[in-house]
Amino acid sequence: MDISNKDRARELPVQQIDVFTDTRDILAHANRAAKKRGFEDWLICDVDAHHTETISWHELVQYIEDPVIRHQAMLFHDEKMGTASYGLNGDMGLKYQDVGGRIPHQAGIREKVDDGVHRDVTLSRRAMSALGVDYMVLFPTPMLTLGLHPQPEMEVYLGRAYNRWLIDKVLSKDDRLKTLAYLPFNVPKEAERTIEEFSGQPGVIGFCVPSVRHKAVHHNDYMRIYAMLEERNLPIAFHAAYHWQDQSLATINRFLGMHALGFVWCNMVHMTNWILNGIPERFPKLKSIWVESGLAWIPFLMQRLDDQYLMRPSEAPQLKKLPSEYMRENCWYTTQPMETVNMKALQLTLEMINAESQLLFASDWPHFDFDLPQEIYDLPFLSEQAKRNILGLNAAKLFNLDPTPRKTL
Amino acid sequence: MARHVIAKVDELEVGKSKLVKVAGRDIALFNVKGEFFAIANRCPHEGADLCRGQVVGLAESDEPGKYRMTRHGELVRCPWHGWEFDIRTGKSWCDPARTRVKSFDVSVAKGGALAEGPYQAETFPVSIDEDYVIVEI
Repeated sequence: MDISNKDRARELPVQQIDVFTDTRDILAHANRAAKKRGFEDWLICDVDAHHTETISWHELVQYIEDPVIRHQAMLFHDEKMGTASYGLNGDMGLKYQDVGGRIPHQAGIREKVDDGVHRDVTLSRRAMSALGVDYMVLFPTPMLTLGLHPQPEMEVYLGRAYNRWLIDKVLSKDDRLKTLAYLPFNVPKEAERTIEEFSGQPGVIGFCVPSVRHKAVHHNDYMRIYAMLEERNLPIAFHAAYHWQDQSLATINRFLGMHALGFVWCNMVHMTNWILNGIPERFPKLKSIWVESGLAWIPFLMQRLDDQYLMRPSEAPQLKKLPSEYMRENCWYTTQPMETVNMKALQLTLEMINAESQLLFASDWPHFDFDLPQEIYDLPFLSEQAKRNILGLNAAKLFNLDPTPRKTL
Repeated sequence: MARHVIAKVDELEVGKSKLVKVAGRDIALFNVKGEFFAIANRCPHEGADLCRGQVVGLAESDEPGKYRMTRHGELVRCPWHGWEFDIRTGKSWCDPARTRVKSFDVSVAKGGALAEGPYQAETFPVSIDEDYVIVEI
């Protein structure tokens, strides 16, 4: 019998990847892919990655300014067991992202962390190193639905506490970690105070409005906020999410549908209002970033708005050009979750949004549909310069970051 | 094409897998209900350690509201994004024509048969009385 003895069959240590597996081990193949593509010399900015702030909630509530609410929140976490995080309006048990526990990095990262810094610093560093990322913009996760909170003041308490805690415990420990600080948008005066206080603080490169909310972005109350950001040359990001209590999605019964629509719908509504009410015309230097809605919705909305605008321009008299032109020139987009099933459609999308200057790579790590930098690098129809811009240089320009790579792979 | 002895039959219980490096490749061997199958350890979607995902069944439905889990232990689910692959063929469940992981021919032979012939399986200790799993690469 012809049996080869040239190549030794060697058993490899194999262990199922679970919630205790080290990030660097889960992403070992990503790191190999990054080295193979020579990312050592590429600036890679990950403009949308996440941490799970609720794991540190007992610590975060100590940063609530109001002494009564802070006291309540601390007691809540000292004394109650098995409850959700104080003050949050999340979906309780409707957490299906991990497909019933089948995707462990989404289910809850419980790997060992003992580097003497905050766990979120360690976990983010591990992810940056594995993915080949130089700068990572961290977003919260369950807090992204605070815009629908029945108590608008709770968004203020928790949003400010989050900003203060994040800067103190995470961002000031590693200047490669950045934030678009939480704007409590349901209370415009407090949002203004947030901009005044947090602009220029360590790691703050702009501000973020979590998009799930029912207040109109063109309301006059917000104009001062936009002017303040424009003056400071700081971008405003609209980070998408979903909420099962959002009445506009009340008939959706599958997480797949909720995720596919919810993460896009909120930003489509805001973008439509943003453009048709002439915000880019009123604040031409204000840079808006549309985060975690993927890309396929943009060509649809561009065509739809242009088509209707040409028939009824009197309803949007502030516009001096087509809606799609504002969307291409005044708006930036993050890539993830990039729809790649139809490559021709993706190619056209990137052309339509002028990806070479407007598109920003995002991984969304550690969520279930995260993307790797290779998703951009491997696209057959982009020039090397376009790839470099999307993966890092566009972000460096937008956020005024040094474009020299900082990582070691 | 060469054949490599990669495991003893009785070391791999039903439902278990074993990862081996052979001829420069990382290959995962699965025991699916007593049959052996081998696939490459790289997910064709974005490149994860495919074989370190959970071995699962298939959710099927013939009519609305009625679901059942079938084919227990026949699919491996990628630990990164949850793509499901049929361990028997390497084909992904949802996109079998385009997204598939390389699968390798596997056979079982008696140690006695392996010890005969011009080549010895020197790299893997073989005893005449036992059964072995062989992969063809």
